[in-house]
Amino acid sequence: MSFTGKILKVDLSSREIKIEEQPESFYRRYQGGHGVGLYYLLKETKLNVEALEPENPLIFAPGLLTGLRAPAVPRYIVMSKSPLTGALGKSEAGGYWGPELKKAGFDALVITGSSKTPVYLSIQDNQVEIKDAEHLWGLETGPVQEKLRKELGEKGTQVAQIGPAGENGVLYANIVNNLAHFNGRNGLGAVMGAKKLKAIAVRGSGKLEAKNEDRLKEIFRWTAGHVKEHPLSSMLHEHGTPAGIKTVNAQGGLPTNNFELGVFEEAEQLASEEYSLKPKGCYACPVVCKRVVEVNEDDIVVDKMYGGPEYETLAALGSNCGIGDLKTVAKVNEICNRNTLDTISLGVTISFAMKCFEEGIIGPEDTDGMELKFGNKDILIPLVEKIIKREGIGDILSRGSKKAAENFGPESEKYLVESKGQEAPMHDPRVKTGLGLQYALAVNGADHWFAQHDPFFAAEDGFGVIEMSAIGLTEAVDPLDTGMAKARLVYYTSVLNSAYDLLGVCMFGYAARSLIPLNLLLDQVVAATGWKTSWFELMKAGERALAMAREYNHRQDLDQDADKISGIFYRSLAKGPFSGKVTIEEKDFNKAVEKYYDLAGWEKDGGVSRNKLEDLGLDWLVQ
Amino acid sequence: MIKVVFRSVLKDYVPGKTEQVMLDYKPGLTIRAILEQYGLQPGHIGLVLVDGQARDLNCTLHDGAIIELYPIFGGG
Repeated sequence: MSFTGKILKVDLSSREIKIEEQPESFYRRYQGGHGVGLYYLLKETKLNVEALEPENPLIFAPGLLTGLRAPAVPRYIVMSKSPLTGALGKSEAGGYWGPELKKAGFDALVITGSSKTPVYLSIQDNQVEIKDAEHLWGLETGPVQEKLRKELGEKGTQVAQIGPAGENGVLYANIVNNLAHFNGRNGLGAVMGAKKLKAIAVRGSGKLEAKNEDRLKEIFRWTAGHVKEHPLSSMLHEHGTPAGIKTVNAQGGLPTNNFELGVFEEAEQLASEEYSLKPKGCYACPVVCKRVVEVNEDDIVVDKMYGGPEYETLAALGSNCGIGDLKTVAKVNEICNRNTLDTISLGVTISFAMKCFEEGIIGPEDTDGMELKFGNKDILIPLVEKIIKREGIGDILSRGSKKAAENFGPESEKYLVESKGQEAPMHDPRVKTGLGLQYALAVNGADHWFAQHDPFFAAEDGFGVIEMSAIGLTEAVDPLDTGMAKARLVYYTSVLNSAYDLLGVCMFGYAARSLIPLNLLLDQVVAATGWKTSWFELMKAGERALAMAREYNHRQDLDQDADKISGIFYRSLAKGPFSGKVTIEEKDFNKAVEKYYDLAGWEKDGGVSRNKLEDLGLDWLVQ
Repeated sequence: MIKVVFRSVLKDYVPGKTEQVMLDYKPGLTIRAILEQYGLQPGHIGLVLVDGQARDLNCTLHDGAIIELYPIFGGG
């Protein structure tokens, strides 16, 4: 089977380690990933718990298919209450750690409590130990991985860990495995740091056996054989996500100078492949799209061990801060990766501070003398180092832009670009309105993978409409539409993406963003589990996890007021093809949010309707 | 003549991986027909500019048009 039936539970306060068993029916209902994570989060989170308190659980859960020799399903989710947003924290990563946890015999790891002194967790099959980590605390990620592999075994030890940013409580610190695969968003590294948990090293000797290994092998071979033929996967393999910079810039939607402009004059430099090496991949993935960059020049050296800047980082720390120097952005990316900082929240928090500086809301007396002007690349590295250490202006910016605005004063608020307190990713809703709905509706704050992206559905012969007809989306929708058609598109594909997250699917392997079609994913679930399942059941499972997530937020007192986008998106861009045009009207947008609620059975008070909970078999959540 | 610029990774589809090609003008020529000629699928294209203005794939071209094709992108 693709699951082990065992959940590992570790209490860092009492040092108690338990294994809980779950029957097959549990997996049919909650599958894996955020379904399993939410089940435990809802059961074990006390009301009114703060994110950095010991009582806040931290959960690691690979997808249902993760660990099998199935293509592009390497992902695991980390969940907790987010210290950045106060809402549900969830963030997925690829790499190798999730498959290893399954091979060690566990479908999820539930961590509660906190340690008084630094520790790491060693999981070697069913030998689980809480070990002293005094010798690792304060170290960056590269040396920590090296030391743990020496201690536990060079081969096969997979390390998920936090760097100094997580230890110091930067509210957008993340978690990394294999030095270059990140549970990037929502500040979950700060939760790990508050628990004094430096790392989780896993080594498993088991092998997951699908019910029908032959069918899985066939699908793997089909995928490997078509990666270079399919236009989307071949583009990801050959050029990675940075290839998007030029398209988005030409469209007029490349976040530039804190989302004020949609066009960046130095975009070509940012998109350069000059320092790119052969890409790396994740466990059992034929797409192989992770960027690796190396710079060896007199002024800047960038270590290839930490990967390279992807699209989001190039835009967040590059164009959005007005910086076109690729070497500087690559170096800052490396610093972030060594210290475990989310480059999106970091970039937008800095761009927000730059805008406030340029508008005279803050001055050099507030910034430790730094000239926080767009395009000033010289301040970027020292500023990021201050944020990691939480010194001076770095301490204020370490809490994210929304909390920084409380320091800067109310006049700064109109320059915020966030939802639920999480900074927006590098997709401007003014050129694809569905992203605005994603940012507003995502349970974990502004998230660009809550649903699929509008451009794939712009024409009837686009990959979105062709591939998503399997779940009932058969019509093209204008990227600027904010009516019923857009609400429906976001609703259906948010349910699909939720199902993807249950299974451990990577968006860069599957439709509509890549090559593997929905029918082959369904075949894999059948081959893995032996269940007579269908897309109807998988979509219901996706919907169930979304409803559980919404209920989690409801318990944190979030309601309709939390489902907003920043005012900046109701104003026009100042440059490029969309300059001077207001593409999102607030009243239309709010109606589209309510249309989504109606489709999903969500209520304005922040909960999910009784009917919908009962429909999804979530009677235990009916209050 | 018509100038076609294959931006970013689309130039991989042009023999010799050159970014710009000149095509003979024929009345009724569409962008869709140009895509077919180079083995590109409609879903591959994220943005078409004709003389700097965004257009759809069915746009009929005029002699002297400058076409820029950008690959689709979404989700980084």
